[in-house]
Amino acid sequence: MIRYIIRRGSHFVFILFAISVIVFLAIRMAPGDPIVHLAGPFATATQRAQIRTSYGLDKPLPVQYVKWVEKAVQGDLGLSMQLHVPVWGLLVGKLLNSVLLIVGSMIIAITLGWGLGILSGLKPGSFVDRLAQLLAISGISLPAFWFGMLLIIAFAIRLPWFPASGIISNRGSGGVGDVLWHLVLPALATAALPAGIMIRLTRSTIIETMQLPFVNALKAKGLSNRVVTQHIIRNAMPALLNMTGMQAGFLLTADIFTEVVFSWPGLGFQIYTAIIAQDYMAVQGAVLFVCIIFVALNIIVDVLRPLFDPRIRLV
Amino acid sequence: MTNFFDSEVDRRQLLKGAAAGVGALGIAGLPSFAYANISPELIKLAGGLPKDAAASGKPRMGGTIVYAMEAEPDILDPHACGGWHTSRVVLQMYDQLVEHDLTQPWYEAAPPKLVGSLASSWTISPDGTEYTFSLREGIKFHDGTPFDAEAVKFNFDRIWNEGAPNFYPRAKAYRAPDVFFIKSVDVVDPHTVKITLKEPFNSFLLRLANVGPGMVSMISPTALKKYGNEDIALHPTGTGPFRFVERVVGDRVVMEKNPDYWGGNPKVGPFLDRIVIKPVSDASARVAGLRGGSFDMIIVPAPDSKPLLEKEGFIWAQGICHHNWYWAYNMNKPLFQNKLVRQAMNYALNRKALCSDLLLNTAYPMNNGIDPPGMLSFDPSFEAFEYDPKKATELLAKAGYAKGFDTTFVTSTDGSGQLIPVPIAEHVQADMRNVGINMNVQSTEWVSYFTKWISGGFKDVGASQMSFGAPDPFWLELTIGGNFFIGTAGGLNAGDYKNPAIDSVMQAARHEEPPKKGDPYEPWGLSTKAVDLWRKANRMATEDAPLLLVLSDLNPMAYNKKVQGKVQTALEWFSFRTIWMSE
Repeated sequence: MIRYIIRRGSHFVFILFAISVIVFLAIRMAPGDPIVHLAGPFATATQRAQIRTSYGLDKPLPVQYVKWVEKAVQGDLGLSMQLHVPVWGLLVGKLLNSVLLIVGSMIIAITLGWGLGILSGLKPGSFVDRLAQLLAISGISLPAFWFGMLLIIAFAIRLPWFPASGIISNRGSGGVGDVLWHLVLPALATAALPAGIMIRLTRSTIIETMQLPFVNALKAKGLSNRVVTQHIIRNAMPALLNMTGMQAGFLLTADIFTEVVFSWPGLGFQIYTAIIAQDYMAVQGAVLFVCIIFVALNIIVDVLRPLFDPRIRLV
Repeated sequence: MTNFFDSEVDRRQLLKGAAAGVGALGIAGLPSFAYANISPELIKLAGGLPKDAAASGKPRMGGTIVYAMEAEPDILDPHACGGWHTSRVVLQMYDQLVEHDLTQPWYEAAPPKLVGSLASSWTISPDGTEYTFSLREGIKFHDGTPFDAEAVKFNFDRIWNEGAPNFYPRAKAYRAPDVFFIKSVDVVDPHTVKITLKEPFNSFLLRLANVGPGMVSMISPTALKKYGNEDIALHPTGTGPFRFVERVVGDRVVMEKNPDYWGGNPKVGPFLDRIVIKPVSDASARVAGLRGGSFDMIIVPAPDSKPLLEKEGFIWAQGICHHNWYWAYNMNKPLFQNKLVRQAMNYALNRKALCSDLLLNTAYPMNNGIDPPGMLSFDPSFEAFEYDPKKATELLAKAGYAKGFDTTFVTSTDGSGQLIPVPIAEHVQADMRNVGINMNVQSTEWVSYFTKWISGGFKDVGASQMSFGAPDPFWLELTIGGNFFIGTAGGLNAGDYKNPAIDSVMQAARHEEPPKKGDPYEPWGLSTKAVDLWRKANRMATEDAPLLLVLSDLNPMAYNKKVQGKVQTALEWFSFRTIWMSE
């Protein structure tokens, strides 16, 4: 296990290096020049050069890259060029907001995805199965921004039960209850897609598992349906876990549509804003940050797998 | 000179004086002494008088307003922030020496007259090169630093004086048109500052009052020394009616009432305890948030939400403004060196249909020449390029393009003040097709578009689009003049247009003597003669057609009925000082 983590860790470092080089170059290859934009409409060439020097962007690319990495490994992602605040501080707060939204929507997605997926997988063709298929197709095909708007119109404007926007009440003092109240609609909107995917994948995993020979063996041994079902679910678990981890990682940035519709101050929207402003430091920092989290999530899921599947040993 | 805080008392009186030659317009609800720019036709094109014009009552103290705006603000530094959306935030915490009267609605004056803010009065030397400002006494910055002449000099050093220790290059780049002509800034005594110019420049007061991008506000010297030129943006410290509380990037900017506001009184505000500003980039999300009660006031609501919002009892406010949306023809292309071609395209565009059908009357058709309605030199009696496809075809034939031609026009897909650029461009494209012009439209996202536009990068296309403007007529020279920035990077003359005859009229206009006492344009610091010269330049330039004129934004906003005292000025900016919440 330890050896496995070390080995994966070294892959991890390599992936981070590759990603950091790619994002460093990609943002600089994009059309447009952030310094020209920062310097404003009336800047002369000299003023632009002065400003470029003050951001260290007059240095050759390898020098810029090494400087950035040197600082990044010490935990300093630099200052946002656009807003002049530390990138690290910009991202941590947003990550917590995004995690909150992801946890909220994953609770909904897992409940629906695993619950309906298992039920419909166990009884293909039944009413529950058809209902689950309908929900799954809707969840996958409704764009989150559109579904979010529908939720706002239904449950924030027509029936004023939930707030339409933001993470805390702008006029009140906030508090946990207030945040949860604001979480309901964005979490529902965000959950739709992963719930849909998980219903379908869970269903097919369960159907596949049911066709494995051990199921017939268990039945032949005369075990009750309940016990057989337990075994089926346990056998399907590694696949379900894998897929759930992937969905959660995917949501880290894919919740951007919900963030825009509900003005939820999350990581996805922060990255989008940074890219639009061509804020080199913020984009580089943010992509690295998301990459670390994504790889870490994958390692966690890998480490958890043997707990559910004794055939897998991490070496 | 008039005093800002006497303005409630004598504003109408003063306007009467200012409205020379303007008789009663005879429109219900319209003051009979409106400024010359305002006409019944103009008011109709701007969507009519506001329905809440009579709403008032005794202002209630306290309360919080939640205002959702169109994008994340830039740095909160008045000297170096870009875009009107950021300027509208920063403005609330700062004061300038001179300001436009933000209590004056668009249907009374376009633009609002100038009033002293941190300067109580000023004198201009007869040759127009020395501006001496008497500063208001007893004012303190939010950090307790006294405001005085040294503070003014310190701020001008930052934005203009390259030799000063606190000089900030980025600020000078943004403030260029404001400080172009400054020769020296001298402290005369603790409450008097003299600014000497290299040559007469009668728009100087208008430049000092201008907002967007950024403004010449006074920042606390103590705070500037403590935080430095970059970090001051994280700790805004001004003298304004509201103080900075916090900024959570991507979520909100919060301000609170400045209880020690130097001009504060129960009549003129500030009334609100707190302002919460939310960046919400999606127009339909802003509208949904307003309807759901998350926001009290939003800017740039989607045009098609107007009927719904009004039906649900929200206030839709809009008015004429100095916000010009146009294409600058590329004068490096032989095709567009032909005046007949430039004129033909202007005749081929049906602006009124564009404004009514696509933008549902939330924009003003630019049929009065280049100067937009909120600009002092706007000329409502000048009718230019009424829709006439037949004339366009004739001009094209005369120019040798009877069968039309192919060209490429560029615009952005989004961006500050750009409205809905691609649908607008497609509408223009359809009109051009009617006269045989095959206009390809290319669009890219805002930052790469703007950086390319501003560094003269569109040399290979037919025309590049921009939306900008100012109350100050000098804007015309910045946009089409050959005296500034030509041949260097930067500047607004994207089409490299140069016309010495117009240049000399514009130069004469800005060199004109300061106004005599009683001149109708005195409240704006210009003489009638100067305004007439600007109008002449506007007519000459319009006729020569360096731009394809399209529309002028009416700066729409929407708010709920609790919001009172909001003044829709003929400017791209407004003050929260006048606003109060009824509950």
